[in-house]
This record gives sequence, C-alpha cells and structure tokens, in this order.
Amino acid sequence: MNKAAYSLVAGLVFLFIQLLSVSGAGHPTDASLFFGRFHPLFVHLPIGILLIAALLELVTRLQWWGTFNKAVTALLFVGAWSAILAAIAGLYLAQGGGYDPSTLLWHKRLGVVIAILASAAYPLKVWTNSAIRPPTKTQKRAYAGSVAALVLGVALTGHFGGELTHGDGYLTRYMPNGIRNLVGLPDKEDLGRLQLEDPGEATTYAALIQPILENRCIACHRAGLAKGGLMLDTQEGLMEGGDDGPVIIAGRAEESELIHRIWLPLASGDHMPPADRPQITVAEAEMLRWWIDQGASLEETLAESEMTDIIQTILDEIGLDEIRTGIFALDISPPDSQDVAALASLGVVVTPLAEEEPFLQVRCTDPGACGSDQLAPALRALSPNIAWLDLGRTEANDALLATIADLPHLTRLHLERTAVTDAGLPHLGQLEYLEYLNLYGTTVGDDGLQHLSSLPALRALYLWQTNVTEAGVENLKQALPKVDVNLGLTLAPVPSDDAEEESAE
Amino acid sequence: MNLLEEARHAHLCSVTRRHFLRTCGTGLGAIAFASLGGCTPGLEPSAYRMVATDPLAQRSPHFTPTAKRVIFLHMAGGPSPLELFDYKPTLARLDGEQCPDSLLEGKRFAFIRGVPKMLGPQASFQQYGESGAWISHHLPHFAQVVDHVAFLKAIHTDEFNHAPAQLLVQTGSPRLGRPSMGAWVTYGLGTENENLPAFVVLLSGGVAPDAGASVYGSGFLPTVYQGVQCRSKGDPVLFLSNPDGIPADLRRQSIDAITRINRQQHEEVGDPEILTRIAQYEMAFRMQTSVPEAMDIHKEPPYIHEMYGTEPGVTSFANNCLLARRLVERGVRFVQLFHWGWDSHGAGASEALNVGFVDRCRETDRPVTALLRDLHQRGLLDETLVIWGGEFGRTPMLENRSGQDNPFVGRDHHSDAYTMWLAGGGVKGGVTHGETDEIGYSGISGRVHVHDLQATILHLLGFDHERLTYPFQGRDYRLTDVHGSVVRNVIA
Repeated sequence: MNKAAYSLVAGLVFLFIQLLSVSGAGHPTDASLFFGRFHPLFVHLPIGILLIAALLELVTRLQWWGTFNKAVTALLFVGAWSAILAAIAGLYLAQGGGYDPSTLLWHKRLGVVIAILASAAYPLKVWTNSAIRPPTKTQKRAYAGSVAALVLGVALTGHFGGELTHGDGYLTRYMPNGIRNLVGLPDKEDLGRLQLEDPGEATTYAALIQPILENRCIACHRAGLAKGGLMLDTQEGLMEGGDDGPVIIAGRAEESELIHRIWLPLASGDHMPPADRPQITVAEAEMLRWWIDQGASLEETLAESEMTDIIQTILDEIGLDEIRTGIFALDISPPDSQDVAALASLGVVVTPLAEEEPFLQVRCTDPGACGSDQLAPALRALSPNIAWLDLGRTEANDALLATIADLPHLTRLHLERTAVTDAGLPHLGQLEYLEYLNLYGTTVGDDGLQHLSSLPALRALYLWQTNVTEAGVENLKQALPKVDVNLGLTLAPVPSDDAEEESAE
Repeated sequence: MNLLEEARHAHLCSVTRRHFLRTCGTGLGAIAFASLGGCTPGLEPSAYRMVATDPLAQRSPHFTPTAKRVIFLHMAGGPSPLELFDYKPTLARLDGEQCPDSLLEGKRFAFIRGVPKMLGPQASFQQYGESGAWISHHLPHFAQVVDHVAFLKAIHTDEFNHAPAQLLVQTGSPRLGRPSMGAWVTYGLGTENENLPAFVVLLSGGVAPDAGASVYGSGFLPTVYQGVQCRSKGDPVLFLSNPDGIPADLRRQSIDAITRINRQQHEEVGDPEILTRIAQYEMAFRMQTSVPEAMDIHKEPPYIHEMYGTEPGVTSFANNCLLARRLVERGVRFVQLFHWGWDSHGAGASEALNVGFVDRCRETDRPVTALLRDLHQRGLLDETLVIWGGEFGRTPMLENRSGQDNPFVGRDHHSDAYTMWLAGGGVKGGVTHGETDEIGYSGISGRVHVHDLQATILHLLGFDHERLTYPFQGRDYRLTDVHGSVVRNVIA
C-alpha cells in the first residue's frame, strides 16, 4: 500500500461522514447548494476517466499496447478521487429536493458504490503490477472483477442520473416497438392513451377520474387498508370521505381536502400521495380540480361536461380528440373508384365525407336522376360506404327506399318533398346508425311513423307539412325519448308592444 | 383596332420567351425546361385544393364536418351589445357618471375625446328560453329562439374603424388583398349547385360595406371564388341577361366557341385565370335561368312573407334573409349579408341608440328569427351555420361629439369586447361563452379573438384552419394568418 491508496481511504471516510450527516432533504444552506450544483460538472470526470481506464486495461492485454499499463494505474487513482468528489457534491445537490425519491435512492447508492469500487481498484492494480511480489490469481481476479463492476456501475448510475434530470422514461420514450417488446414494455401508442368503448356515453368520472384514483391513491385508500379511514376504490367511499370528514366539496375544488393535499409541499407530512410514492402529475391534478369544480358528478358524460382550455389541451394530449363513434368506429374499406364513377355518371354528386374517410356523401342534384332504374344498383354497389344521402326534392319514391334499406351505415337521409309515403317507411326500420331523417313535405303520417321507433340513433326528425299529428309524435317519443321532432312552425305569441304593432299592420 | 387585330395583339402579348425556347428544338427546349424548373418556387401541387379542370367541383374537407353551408349576417357599423345581449345593471347605476381615468389610459377611440360620461343600457332586459339568456326588449322575436343560439360575449378585435375592422372579420387581415372567408370556404369545398354562384353576397341598409367589395373578394385566390353580389330588386345579377334580340341558343353557340378558344389558350400558357373565365362563362349561362328562379320571392306563400316581414320587389334585409334561405336550400355554399346602419354614435337621429338603432332592431329582429325557424323546420339549420355580428362593439361611455346637449344618445366604436352569436351547423344551442366585466368594457373570461371565431367557423365546416392554405408570393397563406384557436365550448 502506498500513500496514494491511503489518501483514497481518507476520502472514502470523509464521504461516509457526509453520507450520514447530509442525508435526506432538509433545509440546505446556500453554500451547500452552491457546491452541490457542481455535481453535474464533476460527475462527468469519473464517467470519462474510469471508462477510459477500463478501455486501456482491455487494450494493454494486447502485446503491442502494453505501454499503457502505467497510465491505467494513474487513471484509476484520478478516477477514484473524482468519483468521491462527485458523490459528495451529489449529496449536497440532493438536499435541494424535487427528485423522484426511489430513483434518487438508487442513484445515490450506486454513486457511493462506484467511489468504493474505484478506490479498491487502484490498490488492486498496484498489486497486480508489482514486480517484487507477483500477484496471486485471486488478486488478478479481484482486480478484473472490480473493473468490470465499475463499467456496469457507471452505466447504471448514469442512467438513473439521466432519469432524475430528464424525467422517467426519457430513454425509452422513442424506443421502437420491436425493442420495446423485447424488453417487455407496452407499445408506444398505448402510452397514456385514453381508450373508451363509447365516448359519447362514457361518464367523466369513469373515463378520467377513476383511473387517476386507481393509479395514485387506492394502493393505500381501499377497502381493507383504508388509511385515514378513506376508501377511494368505491364511489360511496369517495363521496363519504375519511376520518376527518369529506374530501370533496362539489363545485369548490379549492376547499376540497383531496385537492388541498395534492398541492401541499412535498416535505409536508400531509402531502398526498406520500413523498416516497409516485406523485400525481399536474395534468391529473388539473383534471381532478376541474371535475370537482364542475360539481363532482358521477353521472355526467364527457360530452355534457363543460370544457376549459386547460382540460381540452390535456384531453387532446391523451388522444380524446381522435375518438371515433358510431359508424366511424367501424373498419370500412375505401369505396371502389369505378363504383363511385358509375354513381356520379347518373348526375349524382359523390364526395368522401372528409379526406381519408371511407364514407361518402351522395347528393342528387338532378331531380330526374332519382327516377332512373340504374340508381338503385349504383347505390347498392357502394352500400357500406354511403353515410349521407340527399334525395330531397327528387322523384325518389317508396321503391327506392327498399334500396336505402340496404345502406347499413347511413347516418343522414334527406327525403324532403319526395313521393315517399307511409308504405315506404318500414324499409328504414333497420338503419341502426341513422341520426337525421328529413321527411318534410311528404305524405307520411302517424302509421308510417311507428316504423321509425326502431331507430336507436335517431336524433333529428323533420315532419313539417306531413300528415303526422302531435299524438303520433308523442307515440314515437315514448320509444325514442332523445329524438328532436320538428313539426314546423308553431309561432309563440310575441309579447310586448310589438305584437300590437303587428296587428295594426 | 378591329377585333381580329385586338385578338392578335393579345396573343402576341402572351407569347413570351418561354414559348420561343420551348418550341425551338430539343436542345434549347431542354435548357428552357431546366431554367423553368430552377425559377419556379418549390410549391407542391398538393398545396392547391382546387381541381384544375373544374375549380368549383365539390371537394372533401379535412375531417367530417357538422356544417355544410354558411349564412353570415354581418351587421355593418358595429351594433351595440349593451342594448341587445350583454345585460349590465351596474352600468345603469353608473349612468351619467364621469368615466374614471383608469378606463381611458392607453386607450384610443375613434371619436371620444377628453373625459366622457358613462351611458347606462338604453333597453330593458329579460331572461328567455331554457338557457335563460338575457335579451333586450328590442328583440322580442329573437328572444323566442335563443335556445338555438350560442353567444360569444367577449369577442375582441384589433381595429376600431369600420373598413379595417370589417376586413379583419371577413378576410383575417385589416389590410386589403386577402381572400374573404366565403372565398376560402368555396376554395376549400367547391359548390353543391353548379347552376348558382357558390358564394353570394346580399347588401341592404343603403350603404355598401366601408371596405368595399374587398370584404367579399377573392384576394390572391383565383377570382372564381369571389362573392357574387345579387340584388333583390331589378335584375338579380347585373349584366346577366341577354342583350335584346339575342336568343338563348345563339348565346350558347357563342359561349361554346369562346370556350374552345379559351381552352386552346390555356393549353398554351397554362394560366389558371383562363379556367376561371371559362367556368364563369358557363356559370353565367346557367345562371341566366337558375338565378332569376332562386331570387324570385313572389311565389313564396303568404305565411312565409308574414313570417319574415318581406315585401317582394324592394331591397330590404328581410328580403335578403328570405333569399338566403332560398339560396342555401339550393346548395349555395356561403351567403354573406351586409346590413348597414348599426353605427350608433348618436350624432344624428339615424344613428342614435334611441332612434336609428331601434329601427335597425325592428328591421332585423323578425327576419333573423324567421330565418332560424324556417331553416329549422326544413331541416336545414342542422347543417347550415348562421353567424350574426358586426365588426366591433361599442363603448359603455356616451359619445357626445359636439359637446352640447343632444337629444340623441350614442356610443363610440369599441374593439375590446362585443357579442356575436352562432346557430346551427353543429353549434351547441342555448350556451353562452365568455363574459365581460360589470360595465361590458372588456372580456374577463372566454375572450375570443376574431381569428378564433374564423378558426371555429372553419372547424365546423371540417377544416383544420392551419391546413387550409394557398401558396402565394412564396408562402402558404391562410384565413387566420398565424393565429386562431377553435372555441370548443360552443361546438355540440
């Protein structure tokens, strides 16, 4: 052992003293933080020096590079000292707080391990080089092992350090799916994406709020454990609150304990989730706050909820913007261009609903075209693709409705001012996606209307200038309460002096 | 110069060095080709939305739209929201008080100088409909349909003079030269009815828009997309009828001949304006029969005239509303109404809040309401977006231009906050977005810039406003320039 090795031992002892006295996030002084912030600067010294030492150690095994042997010894000494310094600076930096606790713990442990390993590798190297006392096999093995461990340790510590600085998953965020599968990570697209069966009907609570509680809270606040008497795994438990009373005050997020706890300083004992647990993200906290401010309803659907700019941005981010419902959730292949051309040649305007959309809107501009015998087969050829069909003000009749019955994905149908009658309406009874039906100016009546009660998606029905009566509409509304039926103008009397003026005219 | 010489001269003018190089053998041709390639700015053909052979062909938007057509009721002059929709009881209490300096610091007004007095609402308000919207006594008819309407109560603009503010609302820029909203929409979607202009403009109120025809122009877009002004009195479109003694079939033959010559010319020089010209000749011919039919309101049943308050044969806002319905019913893409007379300064009876303004309300209240109801009963409101609003709002302060006692009251131009409303075409009915302070001076929440409104309108029509572009002078231009975000709260 030489003096240099003793100096390393002294350095390690100093590091351990620091480790015991500085540990934990306290109230650091400016001086210690100033020193701590040199950690990112120091830290690259051991990384570079120790890796170079390992690399040179490898090449010195080759005969003609043997001259580097001495350099390895020197590099290990310098590397060990820089590792000790970097570790001490790191301890001070960690005092500033704001790091993910579990990652920090591992980074800290490994940093100290590297300092020890490097300090051990130096004397081992000196021994293996000794001309006086040839090294034993054990010493040689111990040295080789320490160098290999150093390389591995530097890589791991560096990785954890990177995650502390850049956030969790920095390295894997853009990893191709192939490699992801190899290391057992989920596919990229699935990351935090919202998957909803029927977003039109999904409640805000089930879609957005419950998942947050499940991810962040119910590990402790669930039936059986119920820390603080609070159970967030059931709706009743959430509304009931814990030992200290309710955690949610509907409409007043700022006064709700649930929100209050999230925003307490991390160091506070009342902060939730506890500091050593995965924390709620700002986006999640904003969603909770918004939901409570909106009245903390368990029944309100996403569609009914009042959006704010912040929430809309968050929802865009998690893919709510791209959610497709109704026919758009179906996997339909694009229409055959020859079929489209054949339909268009009949004097019918055919255009896709939107770019890269398989669905078509079809509008008959030439009244005569709809009397053509060729129209029915041309429409049938495109049956999966036609979503909007406008036959208003044409010669369309009940016979054509038999063809329309074969257009399963129809959502909007214009039949106003056509020859359609009650006899044709049974054909429409199977259109499960039909939302809009315009029959104004036809001779349909209450009898025909009954056949529409099997249209689950129907929302708007236009029946002005038909034989339909109020009673017929009432019947339909029994079956389809959500449908908005328009029977035409019912002028409400206009109050105020203007009414007198009208009669004067 | 006779006609033949004129034609030859025009031909020679269009023959350029490029023609010489191209027709001058392979070698020179190749050089010419290379130089052409080198000089043409790197524009991708896909940046154009139009089809070269038929610029008005119907096209698909970026995503599935909720609105197919638009009726924009531009209330030119800047109607005062404080007398119509924006109920401010606090302002009534402050009536006659001196305006505090804090409201005037750093502000510029068109006419107010010195320290003005506050002016309370010149109307009484009541809540209507299931939504409980506040509507003034000036709009008794409209109050019955508020549940169809989404109010934007904190619109703001950058301009406080009519012409630039109108240009900003309609073209996205306060300066001349940009295409109007109707031109952008027609460029994006084409037309549903090739027998009628895709973009029709109807004027009333006796004064044309301050910024002139540029508020419905096509800017740098091909001129086929510009708004066509139709009149409700006399010939609907000027210079459309055949001259005396020219029968329709002769007109057809001459247009066919002109089209053949134009096509040949287009093959030689490739100028898209030639296609525009061909399309316009063809459309003008078709319009000779279809426009008089669409613009003739005589055949409308009496109850419709009663409902709108229309009077065939005159120029009125009511007639224009009925025409707007007839046009969208026939597949016109964008109908733009301008109704002048909302510039309520109070300097004279016609522009006083207590006289002229009341007349404007009476002229428009019934037809606007009838338009919404009529569109609705025909199933058209569901796919037609109706927009009501002006170019700016009006101050909560009294404008007293001459500084003397004045029997008339009025307000100055105000760009910080005003109300517009949207209805139909996928807009959520019975909602209010945005709120102004207690005197209606500035928006305190839900502020919507004019560019945001434009982005929202394009969104309802299925467009990402950032992707509806046209390459001009080396860059891709769009209606919202570099601004705009969609107001999602008013979308159903």
